[in-house]
Amino acid sequence: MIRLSTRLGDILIKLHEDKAPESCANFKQYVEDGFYDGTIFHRVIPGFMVQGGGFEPGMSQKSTRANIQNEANNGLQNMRGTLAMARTNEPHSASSQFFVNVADNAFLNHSAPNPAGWGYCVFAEVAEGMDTVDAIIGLSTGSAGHHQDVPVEDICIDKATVEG
Amino acid sequence: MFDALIADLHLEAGAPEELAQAIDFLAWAKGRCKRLYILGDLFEYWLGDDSPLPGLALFEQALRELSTAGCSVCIMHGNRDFLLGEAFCHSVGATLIREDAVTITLGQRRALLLHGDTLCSDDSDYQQARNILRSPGWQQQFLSLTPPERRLQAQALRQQSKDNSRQKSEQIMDVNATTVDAAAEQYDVDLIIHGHTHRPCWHKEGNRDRVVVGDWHKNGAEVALYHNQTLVLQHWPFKPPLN
Repeated sequence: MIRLSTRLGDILIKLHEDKAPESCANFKQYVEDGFYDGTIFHRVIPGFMVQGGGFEPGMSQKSTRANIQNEANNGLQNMRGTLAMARTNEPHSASSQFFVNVADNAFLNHSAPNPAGWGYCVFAEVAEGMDTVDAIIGLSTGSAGHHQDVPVEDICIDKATVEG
Repeated sequence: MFDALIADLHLEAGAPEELAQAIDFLAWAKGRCKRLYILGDLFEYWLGDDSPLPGLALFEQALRELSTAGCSVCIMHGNRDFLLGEAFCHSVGATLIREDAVTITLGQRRALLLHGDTLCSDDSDYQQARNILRSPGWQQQFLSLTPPERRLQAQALRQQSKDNSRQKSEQIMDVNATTVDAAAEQYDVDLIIHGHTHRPCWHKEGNRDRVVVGDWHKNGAEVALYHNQTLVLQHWPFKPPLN
């Protein structure tokens, strides 16, 4: 389990290491390295998802390790409460950023092994603390530079820890 | 729960991708939206409730399911579907807004909702035609025709409108600033939400916000969503999480 501590409460995450081994190992490594400590949730869209894991306050982007393979063809669906890896338009381009689905986002699921259909790899789910995620969703957002949907007041992962 | 405001879907059987996007949107809205305002031009054209467009049963079903699930669906006329009537709205559980403009409350703010064509007052030819087409006399005469006759007449009107539009400047077909000011003053609002121009944008006009929602295309549309004291103009479907 991974615990993300925020000022709005904790989010306890259960990894699906059997279904998404590379994504889970990658996420766990970032946690163990303290990479996520002090990063913000920088894209918050009600009815869709909360994204974080790549920016520090002030929207300064952190350098990451190498990109990982997209394991979205593992059968896991982007349902409310699941975590998936964010990426660029290139399917195998996820690094540190992840998002929590706050709705069933079927359009993010894997449908075909091509750039349009690869989808977004679900690798974990929220075991406890969905109320914290919903509290983040309730924050006011605005634009910051060319980024939209950025919380007006920073919401940080104060500490990410591996438990159990 | 959300309030959603959309416009200019221009649905017809000949545009299946737009139709699919709209149905997906309604499925998303179900259980999430407490109010949905459709600010005109839901349909590409409408020849009367006794002559519904073919091929839209799935969309109508989705709308019915949304209203049955407890969402209040309100439909305003646009310049293409101004003959939409109570019978259609009743069949999908929606309320027809007969007025050209209405105000609603979004949190602490009052918002003026309108299709947007009445704000385009520089287009005098259009406004003149609009006055005729919205008159009870013209509508009574039109609806007394058989559906095939109506179709022919509507095709001629649409062709004429298309030909006219081609000759008009972009500016003429956008809103007139003085008319927008007058509407804001008349309704005493500092927030206006409309469609029609197909130029989705959040305009800051002094202390006033004018939010123009977008027309629907195969990749979706810019829609206005209100949630928890915050109004946003957001692309539907939501853009995937990018690094």
